[in-house]
Amino acid sequence: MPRPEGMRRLGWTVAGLAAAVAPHLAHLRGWVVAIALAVTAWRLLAEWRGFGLPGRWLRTAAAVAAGAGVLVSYRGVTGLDAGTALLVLMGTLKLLETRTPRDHIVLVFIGWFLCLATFLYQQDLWAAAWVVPAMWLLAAALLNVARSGESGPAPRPFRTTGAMLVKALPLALVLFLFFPRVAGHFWGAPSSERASTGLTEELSPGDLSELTLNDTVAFRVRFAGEVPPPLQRYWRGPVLTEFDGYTWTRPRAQAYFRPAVEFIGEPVEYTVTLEPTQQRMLFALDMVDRWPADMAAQSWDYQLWTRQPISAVIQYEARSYPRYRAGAELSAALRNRHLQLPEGRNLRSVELARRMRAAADDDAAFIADVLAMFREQDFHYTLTPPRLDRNSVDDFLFNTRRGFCGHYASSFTALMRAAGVPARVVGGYQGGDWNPVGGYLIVRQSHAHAWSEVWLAGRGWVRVDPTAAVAPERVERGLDAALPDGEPVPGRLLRESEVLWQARMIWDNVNARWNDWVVKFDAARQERILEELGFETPDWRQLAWLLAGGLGAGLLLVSAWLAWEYRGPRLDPAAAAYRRFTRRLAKRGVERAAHEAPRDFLARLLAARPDLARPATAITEAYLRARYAPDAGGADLDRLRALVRHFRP
Amino acid sequence: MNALREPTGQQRHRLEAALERLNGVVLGKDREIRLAIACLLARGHLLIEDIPGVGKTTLAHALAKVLGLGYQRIQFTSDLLPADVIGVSVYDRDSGRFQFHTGPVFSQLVLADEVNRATPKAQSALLEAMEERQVTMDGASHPLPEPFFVVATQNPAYQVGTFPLPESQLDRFLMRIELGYPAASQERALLRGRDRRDLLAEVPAALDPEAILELQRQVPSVHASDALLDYVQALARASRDGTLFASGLSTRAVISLLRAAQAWAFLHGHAGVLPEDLQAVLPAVVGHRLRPREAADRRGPAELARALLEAVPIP
Repeated sequence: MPRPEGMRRLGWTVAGLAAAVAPHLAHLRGWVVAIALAVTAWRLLAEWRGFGLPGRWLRTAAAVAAGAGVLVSYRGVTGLDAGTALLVLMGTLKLLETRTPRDHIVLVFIGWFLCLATFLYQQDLWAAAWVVPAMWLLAAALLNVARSGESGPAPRPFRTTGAMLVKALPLALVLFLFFPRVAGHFWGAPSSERASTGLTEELSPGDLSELTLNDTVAFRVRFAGEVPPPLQRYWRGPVLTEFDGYTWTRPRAQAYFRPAVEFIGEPVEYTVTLEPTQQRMLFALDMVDRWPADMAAQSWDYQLWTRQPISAVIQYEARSYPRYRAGAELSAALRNRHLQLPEGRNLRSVELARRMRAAADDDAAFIADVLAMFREQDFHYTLTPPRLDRNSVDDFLFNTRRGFCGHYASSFTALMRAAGVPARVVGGYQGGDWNPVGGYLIVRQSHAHAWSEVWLAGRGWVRVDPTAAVAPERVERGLDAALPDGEPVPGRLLRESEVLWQARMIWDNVNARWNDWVVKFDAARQERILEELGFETPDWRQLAWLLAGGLGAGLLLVSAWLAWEYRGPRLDPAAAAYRRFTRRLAKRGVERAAHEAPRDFLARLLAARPDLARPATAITEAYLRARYAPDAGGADLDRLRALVRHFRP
Repeated sequence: MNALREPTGQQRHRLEAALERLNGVVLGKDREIRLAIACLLARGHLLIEDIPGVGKTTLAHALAKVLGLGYQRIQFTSDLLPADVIGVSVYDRDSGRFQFHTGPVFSQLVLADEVNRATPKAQSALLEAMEERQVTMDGASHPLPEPFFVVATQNPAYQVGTFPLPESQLDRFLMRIELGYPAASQERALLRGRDRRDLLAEVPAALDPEAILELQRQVPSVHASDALLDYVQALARASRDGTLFASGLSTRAVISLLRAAQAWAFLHGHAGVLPEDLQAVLPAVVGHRLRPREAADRRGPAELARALLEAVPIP
């Protein structure tokens, strides 16, 4: 085989494989990437310079060593990360034995498998936007392999394979819509190495500041009716009751009875599409009344918890009441838990709380006094507060006086507890960007927030947001408005430019639709489509019928397309008439070869059927005249047609 | 059906007389004679390739005689020089200038006998004259006579002492034909008949240079319908797509094919070019321009042309 031929083919295969491996680079170990690069580079050099490929023993040894490397490095060969690493290594080692077209075909298939594996890691639009062209490139590489018997490069490989992929689209669509979905998490194999972003189950002063700089989407919410005003958009997350003087955490023991909730007024109904968090929390507006019971359970502090960490996009419908009365009665055990403070810490604050409580008439007045203190004294809202020492409350209240939601919630709750008012810190998200393009609310990591809940006799658990006292704009209009100019806020520039903001909203809408229609296309949604198609009680039988019917229809469509593509040029009317003539003769056993000149055919015909001499000669001459003569006109065509019409062999 | 638009009755009469007289000299080669005449009418040159002694020279000579053309024969040998073909400038003492003495190529019908016996240098002297229809010597152009028709003969390449014409030179010949052995009956007639050379001396001319020039002028205006041009292009496409041949037909070859088919249709009194006209000239026109894909392919020009013809349906 001439060298340029081999180099070209290898180049295509390597390019396809590289495109398939690229999205995995982030989670492959360094040594795997290094080996893959080294082997590929060597293989290309070998092709270029004409080195021999390594022998069987060397290749076997390399494969065994690579397998052992994965086994040691990943502690096993099962699991997503180890499996991907193994696939990448074996794929690159396979490059060392690319001799026959079959070897290239195997490599292209490994590439496709790696493309598929990309979706095990991420299912967003970016992944799809990369994988689809990568699969296209691999198809083009395959085309080059398939042409290896012929000389020269494949003509327009992208065009050819692109047309093939487009033709496969109807079938893919049918499979996507009607292939039975497994309920539950097919993609749910969690990766050990992925860092979780988002709220965690503890809060130290300063924890949230990093999160508030993170502009990625936490979840999107579509409301069934009226959208609640910003002041009611408190998305309840982890409820923190344990305080060590610096950090708030959740208590390990959870065996409490959940105090009853009385709902008041009109509910808000909405659907949340939650991005994967690797945590078990679901977020809902206060106070949630209904949620998918098979997905999550509510704990005694009104928090929703799933059984498994959320490793894929999930969607749930929920109903909440902005007005409610939660926990009118408080058991002694719970009261004690919500008064807990570490011994010997934050003593100045404890002293201050007791003094202020003594001066106030009741708990409510005391709360108002504390909030007034935040508001009227020299407290500032900032995302870049100074670090606090281990007596964080004292340090904050008496020294730094600069902080954001975490600092205020933490200090406020500690003051409440010191004065004997049951209180706790609630984490979650507050607010959200309204996307007018898609008509839904975007809640970003930067909307992470912390507030307090205090228990008041007769009113139960009441939400108090001390941040609102210092920076009411934070709650009413978002982070931007609350911070002084010059502080870094994610997307502030974007928000200031109308065009950019609009573009961002459109892009987010595209992502939301992608989540709704592609990633979250599950058994339930499939069922809904079946219902819309008129099946009253959809089950797997209808699905099977639809799948078969849809595939049949798709194949018909593709066949029709192909037939249209390979159709001959439109037949000249004279040629059509002549063809009717020859077809009639073919039925009588005298067949005209496609390249046979009319008069040659006539001579052959007359040798076999002398009886046809007159009509056949007349038709042949009429045809030649109608088709090739300089002055042929409509009359000639009519004459030919008439002759053919009366021709009965 | 055969509306006789061109040639006129008189021209047709003279053409048929010419064909008849040629057939009287060269027995049993009606098709080859018609191809030779068509080649002339299409203003092309003719290459006859065959073993010695099957009548190549006789055909060329008979053509000159019957068509009434001035005739020169150049016997190509390995020591032939370009000057022996195109002429030479000689210093004239009286005028004190160089005087061009025309060579044998300055003739209406030139028989280049055994053209592949000469060196490439001498060959190209002839072939350049064929292409340009003029000879340039010392900066002065000397036009060749009109009509100008070269009939070259060559022995099959496997014979000793030959310089085969390169492909680019072969392309200059509109047609390449073979004569082959005569049929038994024709051979018997030859054996019984008079010596061809004596016969030739007596054959009167049926045409003259003016008449031939007039015929040549009419050939390009023979009607070629869109359907026919579709066929020509389909043939060209099939020859070029790489599945049949190593290299396809050049644009010059395609134009030549159409001209030859027009001449053939004209010769046979067809009002427009018919597919059969195209098929009749196809082997002679394209046979020597096609190269098989594999070097080991031993098919000759005729088989290659046949393969092309059978691969393309008439649109």
